[in-house]
Amino acid sequence: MFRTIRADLDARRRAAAAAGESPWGSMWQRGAIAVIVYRFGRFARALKFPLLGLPAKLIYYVLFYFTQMLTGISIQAYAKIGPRFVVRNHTGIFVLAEQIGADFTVCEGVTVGNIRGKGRLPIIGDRVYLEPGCKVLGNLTIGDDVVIRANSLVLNDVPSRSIVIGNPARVLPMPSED
Amino acid sequence: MFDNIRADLHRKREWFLKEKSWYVRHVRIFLEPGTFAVIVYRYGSWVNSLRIPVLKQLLYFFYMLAKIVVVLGFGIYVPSKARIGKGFTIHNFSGIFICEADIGENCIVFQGVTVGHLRGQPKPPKLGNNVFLGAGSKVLGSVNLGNNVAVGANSVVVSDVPDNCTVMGVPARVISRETNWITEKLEGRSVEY
Repeated sequence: MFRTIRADLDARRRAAAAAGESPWGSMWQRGAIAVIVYRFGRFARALKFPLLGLPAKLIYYVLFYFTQMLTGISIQAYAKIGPRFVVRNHTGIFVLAEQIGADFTVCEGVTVGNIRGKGRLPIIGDRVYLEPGCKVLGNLTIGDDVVIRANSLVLNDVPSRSIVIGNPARVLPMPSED
Repeated sequence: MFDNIRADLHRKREWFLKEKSWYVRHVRIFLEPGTFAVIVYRYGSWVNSLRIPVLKQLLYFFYMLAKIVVVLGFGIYVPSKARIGKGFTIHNFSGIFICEADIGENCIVFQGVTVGHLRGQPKPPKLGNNVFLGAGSKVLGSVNLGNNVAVGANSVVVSDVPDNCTVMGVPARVISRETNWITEKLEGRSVEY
């Protein structure tokens, strides 16, 4: 748990430095609290020994509730998220997915969740960036290296190395970096 | 007041809780911020309808305290003067703003929904029965939404919508004219949420 939290916070500091913010100041933003509480929730879920697991889950539930109230970020421990997970800014963030890869970044107003009549939750690959206000809903699969632009609505599968933009979403290839 | 709250809780239990255990039905439902906000709204509208002078001010004080928690803590703003029918459900929280609109029965609201005014259109929106507002959708200006309308996620509704429609996009376009899953679910003909 602690190694993953340290990786998350390192990634957070690097992202803040890249955006020109103070890297140590980003440790006190509310996204950091939500990530730590989420990691604790995963840890509590994985505990097999019931005498430790039940109190841990109880503490987790209280912490989760107050984090929701304080930050407006609701990342349920059901979602399996890889290391280096960054939450930038706060309020209106709901993340509930089957599986999310490494280097995942969400901004404010993002919803990842299910939709009426679709049983499965989204599966998201590595190095995915969700910009403010976008909604990713339904039983879709998103590949690696994807950027989803602000306020777009994604309801279908997205291939790897692409940019998604618009409501409903259009998929464009990622421009090459050279 | 209690009839309305019972109807709201019934709607939430039926639609959003897959597990039907006693703990989920009677404890966890009250831990959801949306349920708390609906109860506070119902209490506030009941206090507004009171006629006894001193008691009304006293009870209104408690309403203000609870409303501060709902607005500052959860980011849900529903004024007590809004006229909302039975079965009003808020799912999730934060970024929800509903002005003093006329809303029919069985309205379902997700996170990030705004029902509000637009500049130059003084009348608030008017929503029919069985309206579903998806995550991040905005209903703005003096528009009329009919019965059985589903508004897709992240869409902006600035024009009237007839009955039995699904609308989507910015600005919202009608993509289906045969939306009746809410009525079917209410009558027990469809089990799909």
